[in-house]
Amino acid sequence: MISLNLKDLVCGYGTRKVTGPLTCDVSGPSLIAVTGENGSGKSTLLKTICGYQRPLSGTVTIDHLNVHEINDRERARKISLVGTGREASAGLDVISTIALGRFAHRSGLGFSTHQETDIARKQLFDWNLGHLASKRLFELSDGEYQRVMILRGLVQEASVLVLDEPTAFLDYKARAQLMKWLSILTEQKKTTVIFSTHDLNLVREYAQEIWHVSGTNVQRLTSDIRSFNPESEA
Amino acid sequence: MSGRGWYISLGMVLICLILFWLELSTGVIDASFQDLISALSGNLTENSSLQHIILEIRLPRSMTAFWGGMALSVAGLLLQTLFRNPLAGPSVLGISSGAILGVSLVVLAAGGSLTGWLAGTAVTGGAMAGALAVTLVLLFVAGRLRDNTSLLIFGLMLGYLVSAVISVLEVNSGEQALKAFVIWGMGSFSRTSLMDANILALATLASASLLMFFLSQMNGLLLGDANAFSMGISVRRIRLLIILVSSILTALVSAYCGPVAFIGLVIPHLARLCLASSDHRKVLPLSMLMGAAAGLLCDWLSHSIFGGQLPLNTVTSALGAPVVLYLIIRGNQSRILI
Repeated sequence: MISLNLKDLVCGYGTRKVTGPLTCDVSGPSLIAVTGENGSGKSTLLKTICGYQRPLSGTVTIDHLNVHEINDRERARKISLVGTGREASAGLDVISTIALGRFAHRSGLGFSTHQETDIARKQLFDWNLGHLASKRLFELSDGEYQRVMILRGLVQEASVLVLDEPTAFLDYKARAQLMKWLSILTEQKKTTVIFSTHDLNLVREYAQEIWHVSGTNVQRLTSDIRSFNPESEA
Repeated sequence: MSGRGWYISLGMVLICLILFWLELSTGVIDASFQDLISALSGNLTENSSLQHIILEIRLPRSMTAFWGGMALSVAGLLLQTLFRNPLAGPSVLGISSGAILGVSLVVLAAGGSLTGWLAGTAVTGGAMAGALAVTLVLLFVAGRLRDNTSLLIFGLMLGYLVSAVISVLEVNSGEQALKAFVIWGMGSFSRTSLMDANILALATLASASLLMFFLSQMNGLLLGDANAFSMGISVRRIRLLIILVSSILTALVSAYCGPVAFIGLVIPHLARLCLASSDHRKVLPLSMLMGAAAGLLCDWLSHSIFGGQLPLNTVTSALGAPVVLYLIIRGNQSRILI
């Protein structure tokens, strides 16, 4: 059973505080939605939790390991981040890209293996995206690109998977499909998934927990998810 | 590597061999294939001047062109990957400018007092010192600037700053020194000994062997720093490695051959275009082969057309600029930019 602990976590840049302090303990798999207005600091919070950005103060620990202090590969086996946005024009093929998610699991000299490729291919077909197998990244639509990047995060098999606005480029059908994926992931693979979104309908339908960011305050909701409505408070 | 990759690589090896043969056997005096073989094995006794030309002039020159072209292409590929910018190349970080500054300090400050081998050593030393000075500044700054765009802009500005200093030196120097400096700046693979070429070879092969262990990390960089970081790639470490390796290669080539334009910028693009991929496991080896071929081709052209009087950089620019233009126009369809 994984445990994710945030202790007095304050996120920000330089001397500018964006969110926090936030203290919370998540144990066991859960599907956590991070909500809040544009510029409220959702991305900053997620990047800090992943170790990509240093906190102004406080700690993030997963299974009692501080994500800002353990080495890169060890951290990558604990937590993975699928960022927002798209690097234009990369000519990598889809299978190699997904297989890169296995980087943190490599042993020895760290060369790529056929096994990685097999895992990537299986993952792609398991999620019914087999038709993308022979494509390269620049040939994908934004939605396809996003799904490939999410698969890259999945094969990494980290205890915590963090997705920054994974539904941003997806149509309504793909959004529902993605949320079903993520629900399955938390149930079957015992992964904790943290995702940020503006789609409150999805949040109400699928999330098991909500972190609502407003001002420097993060409000944590674990019940009454179905009736979550931040606009009514304003 | 896919079947296609192997075929293209094999083709490039053949092209390199043909270019080697052209480099060694054509020039002011043409050598037959038999003469060439006997000269290379040291047995061309009936024509010792031809043997001298082949062994002492053409061989060092073509070896320098081969390894120099390869080194520049590796440096160019590394920098394009690091900055995820198709226009990055060995000259963008100010490393070449640093080499030029070093040489201008040596040549312009010493005036005409340097002659013979001393002049050659001083120029090489000056270029090396200048390039490494800029590299040290870059490494220092890279540790502090988090994002690559800032680093790219820093490198560009550093280059301009160095150019300004060079202009001041030029204005205040004598005619003879100025001429020597301008000629150095035109680039040439023919100022080196076989020993110099061997040093280039060693540095290039050592860099490539080291990079073999970082091909996946470089692929990861193409997905953006945040994603690469999240996969467990040490973005900081690979960034320092790329800056260090590309700087050393650029510094060496600039020191021996002057600032050679375009090869480092264009070759990685051609390799990606031929492979229809930017996977470093394929692009790095092919860039090396293509870079070597490009070095040989440009050197051979500069010595064989228009009476063999064309400066190297004229040839590399004349061939390189149209290729970049073609890539931009074609880029709309194929869209592989890095």
